[in-house]
Amino acid sequence: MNKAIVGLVRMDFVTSILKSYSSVFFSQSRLFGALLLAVSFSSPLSGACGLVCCVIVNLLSWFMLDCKPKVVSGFYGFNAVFAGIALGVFLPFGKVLVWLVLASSLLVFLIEVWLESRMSGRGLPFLVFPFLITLWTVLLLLQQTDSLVGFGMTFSESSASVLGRFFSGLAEVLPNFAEEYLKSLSFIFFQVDVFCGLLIACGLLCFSRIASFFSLFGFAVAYLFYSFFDGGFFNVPFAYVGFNFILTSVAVGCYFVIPSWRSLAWCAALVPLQFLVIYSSSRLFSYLYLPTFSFTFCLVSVLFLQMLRLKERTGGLLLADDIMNTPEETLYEAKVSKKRLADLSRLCVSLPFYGEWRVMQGHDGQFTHKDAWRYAWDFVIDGESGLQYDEDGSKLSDYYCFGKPVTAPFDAVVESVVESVADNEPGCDNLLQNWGNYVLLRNGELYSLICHLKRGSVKCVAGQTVLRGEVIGLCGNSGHSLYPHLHFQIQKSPFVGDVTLKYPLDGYLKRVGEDVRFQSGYPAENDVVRNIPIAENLCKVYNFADLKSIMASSEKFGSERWLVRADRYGARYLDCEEKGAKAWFVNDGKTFRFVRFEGCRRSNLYYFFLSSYKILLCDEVQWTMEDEFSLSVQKRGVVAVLQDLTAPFFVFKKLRFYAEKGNNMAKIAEKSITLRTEFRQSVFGRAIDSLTFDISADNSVISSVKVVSGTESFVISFVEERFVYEIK
Amino acid sequence: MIKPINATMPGKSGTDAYISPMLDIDGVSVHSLAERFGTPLFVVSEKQLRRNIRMAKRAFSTRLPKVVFAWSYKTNYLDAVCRAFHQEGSWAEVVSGFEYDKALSNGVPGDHIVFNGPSKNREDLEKALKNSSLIHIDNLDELYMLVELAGELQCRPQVAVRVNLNAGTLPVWDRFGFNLENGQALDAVSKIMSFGCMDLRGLHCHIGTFILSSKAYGIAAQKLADFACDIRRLFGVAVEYIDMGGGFASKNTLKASYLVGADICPSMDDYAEEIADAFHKAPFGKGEFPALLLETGRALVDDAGFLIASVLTNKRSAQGGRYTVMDAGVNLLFTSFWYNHKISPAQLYSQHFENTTLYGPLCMNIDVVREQVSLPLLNKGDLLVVHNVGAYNMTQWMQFITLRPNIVMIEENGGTKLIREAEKFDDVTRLERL
Repeated sequence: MNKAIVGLVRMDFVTSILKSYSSVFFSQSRLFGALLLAVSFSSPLSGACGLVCCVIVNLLSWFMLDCKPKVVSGFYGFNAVFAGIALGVFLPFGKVLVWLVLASSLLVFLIEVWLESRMSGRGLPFLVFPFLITLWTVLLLLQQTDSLVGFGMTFSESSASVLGRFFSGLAEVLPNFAEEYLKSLSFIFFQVDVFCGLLIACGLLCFSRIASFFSLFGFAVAYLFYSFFDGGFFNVPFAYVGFNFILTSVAVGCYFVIPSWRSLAWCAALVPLQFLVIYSSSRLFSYLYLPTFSFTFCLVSVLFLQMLRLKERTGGLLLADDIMNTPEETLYEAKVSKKRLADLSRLCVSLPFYGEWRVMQGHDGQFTHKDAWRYAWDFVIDGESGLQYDEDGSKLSDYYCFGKPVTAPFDAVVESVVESVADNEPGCDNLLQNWGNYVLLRNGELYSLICHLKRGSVKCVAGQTVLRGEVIGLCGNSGHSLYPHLHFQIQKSPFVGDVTLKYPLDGYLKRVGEDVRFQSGYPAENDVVRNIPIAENLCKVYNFADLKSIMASSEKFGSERWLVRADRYGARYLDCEEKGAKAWFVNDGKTFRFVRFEGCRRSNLYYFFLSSYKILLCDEVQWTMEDEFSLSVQKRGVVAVLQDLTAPFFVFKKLRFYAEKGNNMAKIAEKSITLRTEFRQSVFGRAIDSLTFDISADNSVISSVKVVSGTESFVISFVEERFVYEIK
Repeated sequence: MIKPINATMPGKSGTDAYISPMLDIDGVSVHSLAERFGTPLFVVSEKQLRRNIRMAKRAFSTRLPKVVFAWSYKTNYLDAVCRAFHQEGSWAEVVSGFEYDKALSNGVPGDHIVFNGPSKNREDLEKALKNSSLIHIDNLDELYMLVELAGELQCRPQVAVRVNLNAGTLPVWDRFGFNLENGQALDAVSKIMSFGCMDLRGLHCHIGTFILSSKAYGIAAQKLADFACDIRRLFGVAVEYIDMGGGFASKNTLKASYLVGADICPSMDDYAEEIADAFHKAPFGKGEFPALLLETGRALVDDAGFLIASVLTNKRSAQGGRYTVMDAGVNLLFTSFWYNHKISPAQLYSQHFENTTLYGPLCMNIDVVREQVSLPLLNKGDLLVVHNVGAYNMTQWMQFITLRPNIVMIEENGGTKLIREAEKFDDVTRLERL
């Protein structure tokens, strides 16, 4: 047991080192980290110093700070990497170097902790400020001693690294721009070496096409700007400062901000500013005999991000709320998830009735839903003939909706109630008591007014708590109502008849001919809608929260054990440890949704993720549903690389999800359930790939998923393991 | 049942002031139907069937979160009729092995069949268990048999307990199921729980037939809902559905009724209101609100059925009263024993009406369709339409003296389709052995 823990800790710790390296380029890829680690060793001494610093800082943060996942992600390590490498470059091996490596590791760590506390709360990264401060501190000291190897000298010496010599010919072949770009990349690790640069560039490309593109773009704009002034004006070689543009461009263009045309334009716009900061800061620091290093990147990026954070309306430029492993993922997730999961963060509002009703007047309606009262709905029930009444409609009781129960659209406290207004005869109106009999409900900041109720039918009193779906009254014809109907609106204040609020409805079913479709948002005029009848058995099938683990096995991928876990933010996921795959999911009682997939795709979990991307927990009616996948799950290949490159500006690839539920027969609680879902990929509207899934469940437990792809097919079968509560 | 017939004097409610001829059914001429398919002829209106089930569904589903209709097979188990209901989402409610097979052959999934009735034999139950149908237990012997079968077949029976209770109507039906008030029902439930080999899915009651007071359903629903809550409290099991049975009145007129049925029978909305109200008042737990299952048959199909008959002859009684004999009698109209069926002539007629006794063709004195009905003067060969015959007649009819006639359905699109052929000589004699 102890051994396992030690092993795990070691594994995590190695990861933290590798991720510290890849974090330099905002990456979480261990492979990229290993590559950068190797590149740093092209100058062995500085490479070793970097590694030592990184280990020390990661150890310190591992034991001093109680936030392991952050340590593992390299959050604290990358500044140490820089500091160590710089020390190795500036100092020869000796006692002084050892002392300074130890001391500056500690300083980096302390500054990180301090800066984190100052900046994280404002949603800002500390970037490489800790490194800068540490290095300046050390350099100020070294000015007093003879130990300083010297800044200018370092380049000519260390560029002649062992491998570098073999490839020095490469530089001659490459056009000037490419050479400068590669040199700038390598300069991030205090090298001026084309080959190192090339390695880094390749690593960057594998890690993220978008980041590569932005780094090149930022650099190119700066290069053009520099050439435009003929370089002479600045009297510093471009290679010494070029990396600032690369880092700023990646940070501001695609890492902290969701990449788009706008972020690209901002990358270009920030170039002249960066030149200004570079040269004025080097002038300023020159009084202290200090180099400016990446000060410009840090300052400009932080200022820009601060501006975005403070701005109430960010226009088209969006800060990435959820920063994923790569800018591609961040972009794809932001594009899809924002729409898909918006309902999870707000109060869900259901339709205030049972059964199928028609929207007689919707938002901006033709009769009364105008101006301040535009965001309201009027509902009625239609009969077989399309009329709202039976017989001749001369009596209130002829109207199908008259006297039908009205339910609470959300859990609420009853704010106020009126139930004494007489019902109008059909065709008559009562403008004096406009709202008639009503119930005004409140949940937090949200109010809902439901009115024109039947006289004396209100079943709740002010101050009472009502639950969603509870009957609160009956539909009537009181107040400003010519014919019986139900008026429903959301507002922000407790005043009857106040300004309406545009607030989306939670998922509901809309009838389209014989079909029933899942929708959410704003039912339009003449939509025939109903609440989703929730199937408890389907809820149970997809209620993985109660499970300990699921064994999934198929002929294709063998047997996998998925653990049901929750992360620190309370998000649940299925974790297939042996394959390193994770699939996050939510079950809000109406739908089951997979949120995200991460890791190995050659696994049952990946196919299960595709098959159950979104499942409506309803089996009483026949329904169909569509959804969109984030492009993170696109098929890898040339097309995917092209799509990644162009994704911030243009999406030509679509990944759609379709689901449908079988026959029209009413259900109570079926023992066996079958669902059919489909995953389709298309490029420029042409289908290129599709998978069909037949999901079946027995006795409220998922039993199998049959995956059909063209001629190939395989079956994943499941065995669930429940929690056994032991009392010790 | 057998009463002296006296058709000479009008009753105290007087005779109908006028009746209108029924020239067509859903736009199809009655005479053309008679020509094509002969008389007597049963006609089923698909349009009316679907209209009825949709209206009923609307009445209940706009009041309760989950409502399921199960088509009562015994009311009318013609495949065409059953399938129309299944297409509208109805389950099947059967009371015998024969009906069970019929439901299966109509494509109803096993778990959408409700198996009711007091006489389920071993083979029937085995079949129902294998298809995981819902079995409504009627008596303890059945319960014990299920326990035995569950062991033999290694399956968990999905059961409901049929409960009888006093809903304020008379007579109290206490012959089916277990009595609620005296504790039999609770006893049955606790036996099910202690056997532990079956799943209690629901509760069922059927308070009677042609119930003219919707309030009775409110009382029954409240009693069952309370019983469900008791079971939840005592055994920790929340039933998934409450089956309120059937018994809703159709538009027919009972023999004892002073006014015509269409005027006094509660509407579907009245029944729905009472049941929904009782359900909403019951203290069900969160997520445990049971589905409502309904087995209403008569109210959904009665007014979709018509019988076309032709006049065989007119006669005078000894007292001088008028007798009309037509070619359809109680062999086809079993329900005429308790209903005063509405009768319309199918052709235009003169203004002269006369109280008439309407006889069927059987050589039996009891073959009376209406003891007294005001009809215009009719000639031999004239057609009459008997209304509201959709329920029970096409299942309870007799092959007695004559053979059973054609049944046609007038489809929603106006087409006419033969859905059951008239019996031929062979059909009856084929089974005989000498």
